Amino acid sequence: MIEFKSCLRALRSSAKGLYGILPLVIVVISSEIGAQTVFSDPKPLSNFDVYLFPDQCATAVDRVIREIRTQDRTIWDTMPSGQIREVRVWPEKVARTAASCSDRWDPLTVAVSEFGFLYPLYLTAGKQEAALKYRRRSMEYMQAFGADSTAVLIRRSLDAHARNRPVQIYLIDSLVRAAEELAPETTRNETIGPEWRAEKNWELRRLAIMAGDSSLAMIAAQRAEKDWLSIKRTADNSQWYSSSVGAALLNNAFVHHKSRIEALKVSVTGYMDLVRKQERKVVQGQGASRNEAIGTQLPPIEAKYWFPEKPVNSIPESGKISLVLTLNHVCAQGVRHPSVATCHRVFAQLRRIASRFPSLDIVILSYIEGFFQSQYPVDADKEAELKRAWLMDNRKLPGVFAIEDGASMRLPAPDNRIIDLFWTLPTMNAYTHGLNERRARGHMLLELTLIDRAGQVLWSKSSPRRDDERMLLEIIEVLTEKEVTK
Amino acid sequence: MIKRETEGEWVNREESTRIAEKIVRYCSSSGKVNVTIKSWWQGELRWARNRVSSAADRRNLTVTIQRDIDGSVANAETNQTDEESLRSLVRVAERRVLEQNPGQIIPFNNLEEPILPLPDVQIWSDATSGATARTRSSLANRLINGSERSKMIAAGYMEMRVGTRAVLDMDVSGDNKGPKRLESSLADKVFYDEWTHAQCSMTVRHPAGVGSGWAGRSAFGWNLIDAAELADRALDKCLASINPVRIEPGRYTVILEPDAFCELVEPLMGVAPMQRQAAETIRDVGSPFWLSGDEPLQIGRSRLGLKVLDERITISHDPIHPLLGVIPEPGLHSVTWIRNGVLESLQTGHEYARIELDQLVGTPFRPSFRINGGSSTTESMIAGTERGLLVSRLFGVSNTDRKTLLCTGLTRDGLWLIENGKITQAVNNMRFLESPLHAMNQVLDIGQESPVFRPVRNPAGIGVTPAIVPSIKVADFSFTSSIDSI
Repeated sequence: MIEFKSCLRALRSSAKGLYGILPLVIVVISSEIGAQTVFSDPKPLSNFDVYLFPDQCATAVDRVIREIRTQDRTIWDTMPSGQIREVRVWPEKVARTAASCSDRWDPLTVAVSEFGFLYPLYLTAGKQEAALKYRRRSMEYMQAFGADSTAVLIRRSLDAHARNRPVQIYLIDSLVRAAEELAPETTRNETIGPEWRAEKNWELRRLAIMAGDSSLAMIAAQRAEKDWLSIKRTADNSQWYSSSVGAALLNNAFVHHKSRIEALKVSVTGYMDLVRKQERKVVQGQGASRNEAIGTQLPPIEAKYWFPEKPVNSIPESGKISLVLTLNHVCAQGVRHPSVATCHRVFAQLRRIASRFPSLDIVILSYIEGFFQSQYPVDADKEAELKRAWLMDNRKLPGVFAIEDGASMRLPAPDNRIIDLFWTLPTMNAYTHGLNERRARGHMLLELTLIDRAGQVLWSKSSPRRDDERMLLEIIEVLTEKEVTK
Repeated sequence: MIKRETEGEWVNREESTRIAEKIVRYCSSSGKVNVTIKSWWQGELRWARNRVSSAADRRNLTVTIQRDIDGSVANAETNQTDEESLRSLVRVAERRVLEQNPGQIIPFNNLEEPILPLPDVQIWSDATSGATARTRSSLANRLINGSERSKMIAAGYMEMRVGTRAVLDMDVSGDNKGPKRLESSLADKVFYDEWTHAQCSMTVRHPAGVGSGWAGRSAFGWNLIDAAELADRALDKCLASINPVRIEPGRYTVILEPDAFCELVEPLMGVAPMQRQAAETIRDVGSPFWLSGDEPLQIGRSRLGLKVLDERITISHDPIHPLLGVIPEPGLHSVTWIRNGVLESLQTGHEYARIELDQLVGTPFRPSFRINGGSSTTESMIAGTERGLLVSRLFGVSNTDRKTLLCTGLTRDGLWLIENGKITQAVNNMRFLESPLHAMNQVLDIGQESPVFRPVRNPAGIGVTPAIVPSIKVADFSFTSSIDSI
């Protein structure tokens, strides 16, 4: 305050005609703001009587959440990191704040205009009945204003559910059903049609997974896929169309995985027929080499170097299940690069798969690049040894490591780029299903391919994620069980 | 030593070291830890219609840690520096590491990066860091007085900013037995840098809206900015621009003052156009320096080594130039992008350099540049112009085509007609449609270089963005329409 007073005196004496500045300087140096330091946030207020409107309440609840997030980390870090954001339940302090604050508003009488703030408050407070009543009433009210108003209300409700913890899935399913019932027409605020319904169902699928309701997740995913597949490419929606096909491809494996596993249990041929049929339906003739590779025979791996030693029989070996991982430049050399995180993820997956299925033939495939990290040129023998040390000794990758012969050259200055023609190498090209061109994602392809005992490709994925690993494990499990049965 | 009133608003070296030491003590597993502490403070004052309209004093900090345990890397961030928050911060990062890649793996020594030298830059000024609200308000009073006496209306903005960054990168040993003792202070191991940034700009307008003048300057040191001179210049330009006449749009010889020229070359001097990776894709993705695709090698060729601008143009950046300092990074070096009109360098990230060029360090782009000037003065350029326009400033420049960098925008705060070597009339503002590449191939004369107004937009951003640019005389500059706004 001393500073403020001295500043005030200085201004009064020197800044004639500048009295307009005073209220603003007060903002800067007034005690309330001045009391804040770089080390502390404003404390949330606890006297809820001072709040007159739901938006003030919502802000107060947000403050409590923010304070807990920033200061009370012990609550969150007891859970696995990937799940912290998704499944954590609001602490009791948050629910208590929301409940105290929302008590004064009756869902049957409060204005519908407060929906955006009050509905999330009810959810946070755990007042599910009140939330449902308020939403029904608001929906009825909004229907008088047409489909677009109802659509906005549905979107806001879903947004509120997506933010709330725990996910109250039975409240959401009815929302999406309401969304589906809306007429497929284009309106001012929302485009209600297949895309809209697919998006909402996809959101429902995500929330259902978070809530642990796998059957609802499956149903929602199938509904979304149905809508995606009904969309036709037009001049207006070409970008959206591409992303929806991409989403449908992602969804496809999720939706059909169970049926594929069931088919695989009966016969490999039946499994492949099913996969081909489903994949063809999804890509709608767009062509995807990886999907076309399913069921094909790949040539035996030809390599110049083998570590620890060259197998007696060719790989893929007839009568054995093989898993082949092709390494891109970053993974093979351990280059310090943002995408190296993907390498570590896939390496860890490979170790897990190997420890679970020791009988699996695992092959890691790379090629001679002519250099290693910052060393250029490097003799092929030395490069192979450096790669072996990196992958087998350091990363402790299982299986055998094969290095195909290759060559590189440096372009003259001022260009100076090193060019290796890896996409012309027969083995690398075959095991990346023809996708391994420089123009294909900047030659950063990391392809994992499962080959059955008859030498046919059963499954293939680029840079597989955790879900893919789970599916792959199930497929291998079925295949190995069949072997035991035999 | 006199204690500055603003001290304590940012995290200084001692406080950063204390925070880093606490974090290291809490690390429970051996491996690497990287601690980054960033903070900023900003004091600002804005005035309009000859009265101060807002004043503020803002600050924030972030503490980020990265744990690297056996090659698995995870981050966590907070803005709290109390004991419990820091302890939780470490715990969160270590938990994430464990999830990523379980298993003990030996570090691979070949991946160590060399220690690169830091350029010795000048980006700190006590004059900036010591400026208080009182300094700003009293100065604003003086700046406004001149306009008020001339019965003009002034609006402007001044800002002083401090940014700090502390980084600690070290190996720690851990035994999971709780906080460890540090045998010695880590003060020597903490890399700490701090910078200041100041800006002042001012527009003076005629009360009837028939004339407008502007002047501005930004620099790391407030002492490098002559605010009174800026106020005088803005007032002079305003008085000279009163009652402009309308002229036909078309192609004119123009003299761009340094600030106008800087605005014109902004679309060129960005990361995207100068990016080498974009210029070397097999298909043209819109880079101005892409030359052709090379199908057999599956690469693209850039214009490196080719003449792209007038031979009098040299664009470079030297971080140790007293007026061009940017926040130092290891390996940051001086670079000449275009020398005598020939494209000599393009921006390469470390990742691109490692993958394509087999170099550990790329050519980083920094938001700072210098375009070499000539010996002509603006007055001599005017004297040598038969018919043309003098442009004080460009505004709202937006890029309409990434490939040609064709831009559109408006002139602002002073446009004058030159006839027979003399300024004869103030002219209505006009919209231009021109490419900086085209303009810099139509150079008639280059004036003396000077630092320009190029402030940092984001307080938490990249520190300082200085530029030194000459005035330039260009033939056939295209104006498409005349506009009424002044």
